[in-house]
Amino acid sequence: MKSEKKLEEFTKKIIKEAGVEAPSDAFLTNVMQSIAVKGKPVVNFVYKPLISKMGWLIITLILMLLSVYISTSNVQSSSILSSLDTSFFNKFYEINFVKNLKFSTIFTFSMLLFTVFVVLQIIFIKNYYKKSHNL
Amino acid sequence: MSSKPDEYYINQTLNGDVNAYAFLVERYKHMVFTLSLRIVKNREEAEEVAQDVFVKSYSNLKKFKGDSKFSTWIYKIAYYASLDVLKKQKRTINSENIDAFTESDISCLQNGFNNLENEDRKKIINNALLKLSEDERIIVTLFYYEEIPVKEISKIVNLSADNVKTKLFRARKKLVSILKYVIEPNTIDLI
Repeated sequence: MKSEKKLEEFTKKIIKEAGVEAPSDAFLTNVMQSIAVKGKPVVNFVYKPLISKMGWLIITLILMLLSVYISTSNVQSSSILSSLDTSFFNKFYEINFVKNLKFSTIFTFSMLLFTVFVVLQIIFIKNYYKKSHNL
Repeated sequence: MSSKPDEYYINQTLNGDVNAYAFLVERYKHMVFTLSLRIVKNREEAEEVAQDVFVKSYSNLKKFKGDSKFSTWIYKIAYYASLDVLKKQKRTINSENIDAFTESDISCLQNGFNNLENEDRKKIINNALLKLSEDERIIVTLFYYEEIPVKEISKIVNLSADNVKTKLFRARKKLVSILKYVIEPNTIDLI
């Protein structure tokens, strides 16, 4: 234990004695010149959510007020809805777009595979950007 | 040099005062250069690495959150930038065997050192330091010269505190073991 303490003191003494090395006189000038070329420090890339917290709060409040309004004024709202002419939308139900569409098995499988690859690619790209921006 | 804290110069720099950064360069250039030199072992290369370190830290100053000290942050950049140079050149990492030594060996070494001129002593110590492994050299320098706590060093070299302590222990023994071979013949010559 005593020799360990002595060794510790000796190491401290010699490392202090070794000191630090001095770079060339032009060191500071060179660094400052390189910095002048670079310009201002790079602004850290910060992602901002599309809808802020305040935005979400307002949306929640509106939805809550709407649901409260609908539940309390049930009769009135249904009368408004019934007064609207929605017969126009019925026309859409009559048209069947997919009736005559037929896909071969190869096409179906290739589309399925394509979709899987697209999804995988999205995950891969998302991770790549996440890593490159150190998020 | 001004005695204002690092945070003051960092904020000034971020507010557009580029000259404030010069104070930080002045404050840390010796240590950053020493750390680089002790890894790459070449003055020109070390100077280049150290300059790059300051330019890189300037560019990324906004990323410095202040969770740790600015010194810890910049020493870490210096450590990894220097190791990168070694990796690119595919230089081998040093390793010296540890020989057994006694308490009297340390006393003998101390006497041997006292008989040497200041410049010779410095040269011998620096040469001995270069025989340690890269991380040991840096850990020893930061701990004994800069007197940085083990916890901070562990952040710089990305090792656990216990691992840093073990490396310090081994480095001390290695240093004495290396110096024993250098000093003892010198002492004999002097006698």
